[in-house]
Amino acid sequence: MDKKERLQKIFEIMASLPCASSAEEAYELLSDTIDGFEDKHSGVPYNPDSWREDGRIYPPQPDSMKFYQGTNIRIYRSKAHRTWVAPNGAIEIRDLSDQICFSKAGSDGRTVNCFLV
Amino acid sequence: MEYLIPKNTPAPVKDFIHQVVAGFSGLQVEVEEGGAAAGNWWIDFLVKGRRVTVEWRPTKGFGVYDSESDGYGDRPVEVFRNAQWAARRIQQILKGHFRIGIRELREIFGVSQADLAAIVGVQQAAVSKFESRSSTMTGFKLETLEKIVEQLGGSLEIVARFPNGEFRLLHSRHGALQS
Repeated sequence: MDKKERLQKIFEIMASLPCASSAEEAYELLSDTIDGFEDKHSGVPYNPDSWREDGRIYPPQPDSMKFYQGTNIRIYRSKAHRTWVAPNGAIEIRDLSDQICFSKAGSDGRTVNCFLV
Repeated sequence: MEYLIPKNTPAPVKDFIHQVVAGFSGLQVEVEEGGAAAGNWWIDFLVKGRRVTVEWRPTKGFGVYDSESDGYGDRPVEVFRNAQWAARRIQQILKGHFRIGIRELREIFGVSQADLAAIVGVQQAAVSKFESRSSTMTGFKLETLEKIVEQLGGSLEIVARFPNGEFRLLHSRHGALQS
């Protein structure tokens, strides 16, 4: 599977898992799903210390988190996306033109978009 | 060309941006602060519908991302410790030189063909010939590439990666010339 195919599978797995109920749980859900799938299917060992492209999909780095405009919505910027995590556990991955690539509601049923309206 | 840089943009990032945009017209620049813990900053250069993205981290330098990939979870393909080298590389990419060969390396270092020929101990024509071959990574001897990289102050490493392990096939020592 190439990266694009693996990412699609990761999104399918994420969608099937129980919703998170906090921002911390949501981040764990995202990073554990990505790391677990890549361990099995990428063929590339997990190397968090290297800052070079190696063919593996890496979750957003926790230290790159910032809060959106004074709210408690977290944003993680990566090369071509922003990952939004709301305090209720909702997750959204958007490209840089704000098109939603993936969305999962929090355990209360609200999506990230609900917090932005 | 106009661009806005946030007031709190770190000096290395400002310096990098100024060096990239010098001499360019029609270039759009977007600067985005990253996480406070990482202290990272994102710089996007847009020209003729193409986006070139750089991430700066204070402890690592400037990470240049593959401009032909929009994959989630990508990491930089090239990393530069100083603004001048990073800026020269971005200018190359913006001009369409996506692959990095010996010519691109030499230009990043600010070394002429004649100078490189003198450093390596060959004729300039040989450097020119090697540069045209290394742009497609075919038709040159690995020993020649190793010698050039070492004489520029670097080391060459070739690693074979497999699902169950990785093997370093080549690792040359550092050359005498320090950058």
